[in-house]
Amino acid sequence: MAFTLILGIYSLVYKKSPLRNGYLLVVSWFIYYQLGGAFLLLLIVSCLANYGFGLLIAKPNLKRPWLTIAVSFNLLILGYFKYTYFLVDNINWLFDTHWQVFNWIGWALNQLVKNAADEHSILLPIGISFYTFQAISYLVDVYRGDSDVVRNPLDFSFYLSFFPQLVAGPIVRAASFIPQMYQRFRLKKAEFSHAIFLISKGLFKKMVIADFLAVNFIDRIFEAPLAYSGLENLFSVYAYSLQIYCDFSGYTDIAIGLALILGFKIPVNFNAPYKATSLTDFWHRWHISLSLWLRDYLYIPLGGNRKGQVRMYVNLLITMILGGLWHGANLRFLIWGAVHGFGLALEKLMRQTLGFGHKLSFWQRGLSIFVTFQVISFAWLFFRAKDQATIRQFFYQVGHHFFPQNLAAGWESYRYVIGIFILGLFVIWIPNRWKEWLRGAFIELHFTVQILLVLLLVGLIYFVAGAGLQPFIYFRF
Amino acid sequence: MMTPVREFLYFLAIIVVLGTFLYLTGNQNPQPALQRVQPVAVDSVKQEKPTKIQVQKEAPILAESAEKSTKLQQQLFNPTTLVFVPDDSTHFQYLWNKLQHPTSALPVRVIYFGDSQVENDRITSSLREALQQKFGGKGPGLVPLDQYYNTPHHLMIELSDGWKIKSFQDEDFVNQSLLFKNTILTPEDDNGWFRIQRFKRRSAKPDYQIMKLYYWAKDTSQVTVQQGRTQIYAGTLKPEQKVSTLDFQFNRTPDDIRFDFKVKDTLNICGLSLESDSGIFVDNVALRGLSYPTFEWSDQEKLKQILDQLNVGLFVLHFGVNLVPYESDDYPNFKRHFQRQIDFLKRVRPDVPILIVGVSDMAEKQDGRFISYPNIPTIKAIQREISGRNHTAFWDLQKFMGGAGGMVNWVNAKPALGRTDYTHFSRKGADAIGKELGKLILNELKTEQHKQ
Repeated sequence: MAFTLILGIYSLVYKKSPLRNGYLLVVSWFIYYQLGGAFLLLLIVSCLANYGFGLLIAKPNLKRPWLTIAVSFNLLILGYFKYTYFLVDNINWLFDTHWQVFNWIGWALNQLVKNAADEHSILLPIGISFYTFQAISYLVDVYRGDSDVVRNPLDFSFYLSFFPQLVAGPIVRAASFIPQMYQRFRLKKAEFSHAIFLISKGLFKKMVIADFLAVNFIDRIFEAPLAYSGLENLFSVYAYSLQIYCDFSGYTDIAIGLALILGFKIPVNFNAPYKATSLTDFWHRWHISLSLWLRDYLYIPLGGNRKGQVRMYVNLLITMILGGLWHGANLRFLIWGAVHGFGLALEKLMRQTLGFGHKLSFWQRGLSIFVTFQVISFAWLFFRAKDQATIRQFFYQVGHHFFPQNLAAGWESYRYVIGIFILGLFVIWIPNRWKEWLRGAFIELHFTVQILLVLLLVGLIYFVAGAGLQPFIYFRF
Repeated sequence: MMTPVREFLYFLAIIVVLGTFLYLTGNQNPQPALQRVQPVAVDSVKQEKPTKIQVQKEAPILAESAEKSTKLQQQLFNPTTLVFVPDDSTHFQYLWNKLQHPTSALPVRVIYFGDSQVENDRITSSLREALQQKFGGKGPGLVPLDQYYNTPHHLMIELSDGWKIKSFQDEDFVNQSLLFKNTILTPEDDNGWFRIQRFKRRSAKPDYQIMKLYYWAKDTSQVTVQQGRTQIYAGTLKPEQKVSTLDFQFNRTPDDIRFDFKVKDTLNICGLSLESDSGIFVDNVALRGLSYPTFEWSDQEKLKQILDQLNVGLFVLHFGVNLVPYESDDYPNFKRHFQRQIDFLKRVRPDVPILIVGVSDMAEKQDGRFISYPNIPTIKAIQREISGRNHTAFWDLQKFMGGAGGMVNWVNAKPALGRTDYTHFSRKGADAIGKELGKLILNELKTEQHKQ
């Protein structure tokens, strides 16, 4: 409904680029205000500061010092809002101190406006990790000459704040997005149908698969692992693998679709990641914009593979650990990143010493996909569990209370969950040609039929979201 | 080529068709999977100390006003007193006397029987903490000898494969344990061990210092006990048809204890107690899936023998959620069986007071919204009626949660007090209940003190 309204006004302003960009900037900031409230000010500060830094870096003198200052500024802001608690908690834990978090920015704001912020807590602004990384990529690209500097502050703000990708990516490179801001609106019918297909696919993955599995199964297990058998605990980890993919890639599909309808092309962020035959392959397919960001702005500047074998492994580990911490300020994300880092290092080592990684036969490929999926799912456990006690309890239940004899009873109680789980497996492993056929067939349809299918999907979402809670193996509590 | 005007018309068509359909079918807008139901108004009784838990706000950016926060507290916790029948003047006098004028060298116990709501020492751990703060005592009390994990006490028990665990779920076995868990070693698997470990060593607080094994054996069994790598005991368990105990006392809480057994005939370990030499204990007996402890189908003589070795000051019966999914006008089976269990307790311990904790609030999803089950008041009324008839105390847990709609508020509270199955409590919710129950029991004991 809201998007239709946005589109209605957009149809009046789309012909003139400055007007269109200005309108979309206002809409983006309004949406951000609805989601993040006063943190809109922080986004505006970030837009203006990075716009200024861009101009300074583009000048021939003092490029490097300005880049250092600009990147430090962004990392400090991100660190302040995202990692202060992590830092203080760990210092307290290590040194048995009792430091308290104090919100200096909130305190400063309160000097200007009374009771504007709570000085004793720091809240995480929505989307800060994404727009900060996007800003850093712009600054480095300007420094390297890979992107032109944006000379209009409103245009730059629009690039950093564009609402479809503002909250959860993809992280869009300036070189691919900024030229589009000055182009005329051009969208073919097939492209529009593709966008509708993407939005529908995203909604299906998010609402029918991810949310159903989360509400009816995963959340319950992870909030009290000891209340469920080891079998259910194990199943919940695989289910979470499906949930996080369907949730995140579903969101990205919707973001790409909405942006396309507004005439902007955002790069693909997922490419069937669970079909990966190795962890290296997985990171070429999962959250691609982040993987490329980490490669271009962290791994390669650290030296990449140019400084010998040992440094390469160290760089890989540092990159993945920091990549893990980017997802959240907690030891669990660090472990998640480290599992991937060690896995990638081990893979490289095996490839070099044992000659793995050549062309795979059908069965070898199947086995590689299966093994990779196991490793990735294992790592997701650290990502999803709310604390280390949950992880410990998970392993305890799997080790001591596995109860495979409950499998038959499980089918009876979990049949809808299992049904959606199987549907999820189909979604992650569906052959590409089937996907393409489906997409092509939808695009070919007349608009009326498309609308009918979209309505059917809305009905399905309504039905699934409205369905009662699913009972469990121990139906009686 | 597409233009934004055409795109707008495309989306408008979807909205018009959808809106018309919903209008014609009389439906509301689709609801998200987890809809917050507006809290049901509760009696505005002021709390002594409002906790920091709040109902989740739509946009938790700025701090709520203090007044609004207090209102939210009242929606989450509705202080509810214990109910006694009018002609019962003794209340918890028996428990008070036991604590103040001990007639036994044994520490006093509150045995708390419950369903899955008390699994993993939930509710009981904070109740225990509240009572032990006042009357002393350390340790979780009775625990079943099985693969066991206790978060509040950082405790883990592991068993070798040879043991056969028989519980109330085994229809071919007559239960002989007050914990409804019988850990049996037979000559077929003549060797067996179990190990008790504390898993969090960093800043571990002192806990239990006494271990008691409740067992009966058909023939002589050999037992060795190791603390870490040091053997601290080697001996024999004599054949006993009566339940006996094997006791160990330590100078400090042991981190790692292992018991090894070699048996010639059946050895049944029907319970383990981790305790201290004085104070009060709250024993957690969690019976997942049950609506009452099944004393009537147990070996009552054996249960009595165990009870004879325990200094019980109060029984708590906390059941009800397993009945909720089944609608009935008066739940005749539940009434009959629940009464029989109380009869048993009254027969073996006629003076020990009983507290019945009423069914908690529980919600189901209807038309996309979570609402409380409509039959909860019926079940609660039956529990209260049984309580009145048997002169036991009664506590209305649903009312404490804010009445109908309470569980929805508890799930949406931040931090959550209820789990997303809209049935069970989160650790925080369970702690709040245990703490409240502890406060109520202590208040009763204070009243007894004033009487005397």
